[in-house]
Amino acid sequence: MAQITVAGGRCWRYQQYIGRSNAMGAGFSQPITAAAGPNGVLYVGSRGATPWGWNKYVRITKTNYDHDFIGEYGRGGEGAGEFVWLTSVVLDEDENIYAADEWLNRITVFDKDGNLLMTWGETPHDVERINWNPAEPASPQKISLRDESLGYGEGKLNGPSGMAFDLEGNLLVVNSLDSRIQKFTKDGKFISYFGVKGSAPGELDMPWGITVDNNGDIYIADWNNHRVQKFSPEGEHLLTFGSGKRTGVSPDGGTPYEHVTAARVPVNPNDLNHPTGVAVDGDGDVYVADWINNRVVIFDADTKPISVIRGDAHGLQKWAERTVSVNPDVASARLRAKNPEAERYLRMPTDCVFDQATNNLVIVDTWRNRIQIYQKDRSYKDPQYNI
Amino acid sequence: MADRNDLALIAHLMRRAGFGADRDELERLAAQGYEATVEELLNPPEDMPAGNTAVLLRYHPIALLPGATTNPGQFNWMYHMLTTKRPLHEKVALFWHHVFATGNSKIDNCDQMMEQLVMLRRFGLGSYRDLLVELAKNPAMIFWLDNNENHRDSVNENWGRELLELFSMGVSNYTEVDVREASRAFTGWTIQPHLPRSPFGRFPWEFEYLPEDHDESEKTFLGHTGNFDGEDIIDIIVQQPATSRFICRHLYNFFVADDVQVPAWTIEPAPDEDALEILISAFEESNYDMTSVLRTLFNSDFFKNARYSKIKSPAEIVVGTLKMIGNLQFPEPNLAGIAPETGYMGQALLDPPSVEGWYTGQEWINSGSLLARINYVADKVADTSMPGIRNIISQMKASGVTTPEELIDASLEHMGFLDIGAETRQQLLEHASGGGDMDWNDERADGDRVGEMLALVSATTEYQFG
Repeated sequence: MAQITVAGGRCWRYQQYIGRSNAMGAGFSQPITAAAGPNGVLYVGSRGATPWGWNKYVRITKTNYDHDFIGEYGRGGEGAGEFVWLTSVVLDEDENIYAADEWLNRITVFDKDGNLLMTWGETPHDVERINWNPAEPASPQKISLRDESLGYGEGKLNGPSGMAFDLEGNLLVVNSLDSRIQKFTKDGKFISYFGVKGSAPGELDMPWGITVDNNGDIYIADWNNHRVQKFSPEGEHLLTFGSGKRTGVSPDGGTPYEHVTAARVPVNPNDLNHPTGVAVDGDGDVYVADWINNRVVIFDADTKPISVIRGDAHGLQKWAERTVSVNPDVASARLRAKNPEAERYLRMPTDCVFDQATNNLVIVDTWRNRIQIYQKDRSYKDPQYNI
Repeated sequence: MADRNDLALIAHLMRRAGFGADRDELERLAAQGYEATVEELLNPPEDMPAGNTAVLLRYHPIALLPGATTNPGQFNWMYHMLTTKRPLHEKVALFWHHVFATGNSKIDNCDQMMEQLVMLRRFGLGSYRDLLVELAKNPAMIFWLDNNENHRDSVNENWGRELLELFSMGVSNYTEVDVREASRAFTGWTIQPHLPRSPFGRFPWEFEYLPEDHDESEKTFLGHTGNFDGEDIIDIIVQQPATSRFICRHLYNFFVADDVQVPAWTIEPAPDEDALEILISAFEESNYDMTSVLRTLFNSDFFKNARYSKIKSPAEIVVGTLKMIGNLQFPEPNLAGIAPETGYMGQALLDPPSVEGWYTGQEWINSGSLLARINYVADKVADTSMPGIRNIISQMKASGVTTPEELIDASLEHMGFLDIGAETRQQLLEHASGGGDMDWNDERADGDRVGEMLALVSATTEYQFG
């Protein structure tokens, strides 16, 4: 079993993966978000696909570290409890499930058994993307945040992506399309916001993932600025992780297809390429899903990159084994493959979550339809090298 | 404001070298001049990106690795056509997709079609010789033409034959023996056995050369004898005059004016032999460099004088319309809906009908496809809520468009500086006159009249030409 070591007396041991490509039931369809609950329960949100009208494969799958398929909640559509573009799933202290939809501009809340509790945050479609321009480089937001008529006002959702609860139990929601972080009560009452579009320190450009550490500080994956930024609970910029320099896979912004794995592409750990997810553990180590570079970069609390996880999945675990065991052609092809190591690697991971109850790092391995799980060992000792 | 003739010429260039441009873009390009625009198309500056791939994948992750289904690959490509700041690179990729037609109907792995598209973008404007080598090593092409079944002791001629017949020289310029010998030189060029599609999704196919499966014996090909490998065969092919003529006739047919269909090229003369000779000279003198020959083409008088001498392809119709109306710059969920539109008109991208590719020109038009083309454009341009149409309405109002004649002229300008016949104009005028002059007191009503006139223009015979 592989493990990853770093200096400083800690390591991350690969534990297992959970998943397979499946349109429903035990498996995922391009998972992009995960949340860890009590007693080893995991919730994994599948983005699915929208090629033929409503998304048929979007859902939240409830499972656990023992690979039990417990259930799945939500489905494609615009109605209550349905999703078009599911982006993130987080849990409150009662294990209620909060799910963001960045097309419907809506937060949906289920209880842990999948019963719909409430939805909030709708914004009319015809105003939501007025100032969005993919070709425009990062620049200060031109639209007054007070202009309610344009849909960018306080409390308005505009492409909600990542979410996290703060230490007071309020919900932080990333407004990706106007680069703001808004704070709400759990039932959707607006409290405050911070953030402005731009590329200077403290500014954001199409942010995605967010997490909160044990001190209440906030970490945001600043997607289009290729960095992670740390803010105080009041929104004061504290630190920046990553150089902001996009290198590695497809640095020109082209299709990141021809590179099978980042293992073939030399890239400095400090150079992130469209980071999507961020997590922090109880020691302050920070985990960044370095999306296009196909890896998770681990930083210490002082922004120094200390290690890189590229993925270690191997063998056939429960759900995957079911697929292969009923298809002898697939089993045969696996034996014939000359590149079996490719199966280990992460493929554009979108999210990472640190489960402090188990010390597990859960990485959402989006294009491999699985999650890879590592356990942090704080008491790691260097091996006896002459064994 | 630029001279109307200059704008019309730039509009022609942008239709052929890209997928059209709106009025603001035409004004910018006309201000910098025609030849400078050609250079910008051929060698765009670093800050002009080739579409926003990361944004597309953020919202449509399936578009990266579509698997067996072609639809996500199609809208992936069309989104790049729509948003790229390097339109010629995308148009050249489409050109090579016509010539090196490869289809997901057989490959059943659109991931590999997308990888081939990346290759066509990367090498399409460079050396034709290098492009052929990349093509020969491209896993999608290897599978499409069965070179993975081309063994030292069991030769499969499919790739070798199409390399000569459709990808380089054209029929009647080689013998059956040459086909056999070329195929032998490509034995051992195959795809590495890879992990299967289940349970984690597809893993990329990769080229693999198997020396133990390669025919090392002597071959005689087009009069040359030696222990040839595939690259040697390509080196001989590119030096054949037939190859220069075949590729340049393709370029003329795609970028300049409609020719007869490729199978008839052995019996029908080229539409403009002088133009073809100019292209051939540029091709050969530049050592088969695509950028050089296209520079010659776009700056030539025969190109500048070839306005409206090509029937638009379905891809040009759909993408050009979406650019005009300013739709889908943000990759909304319904982006997926544009994927089949070109197929309804006879051009399912990434899935040509055969290795011959599509028959072009008047073959794009039949009773079904014509209705699909007209209905698609008319429906879009009549939608006055679209930002591009709102912009056109504002510009017409600002420029004082008043009379029915002015409404027609302005609409023709915004639809690509279109020239129409007297009969068509009279029909448009009869309709426009029914509403009287535009007074712009009721902007919604006048806007609807603009949308209606744009829709009528899209239904003219002239609009089918680009």
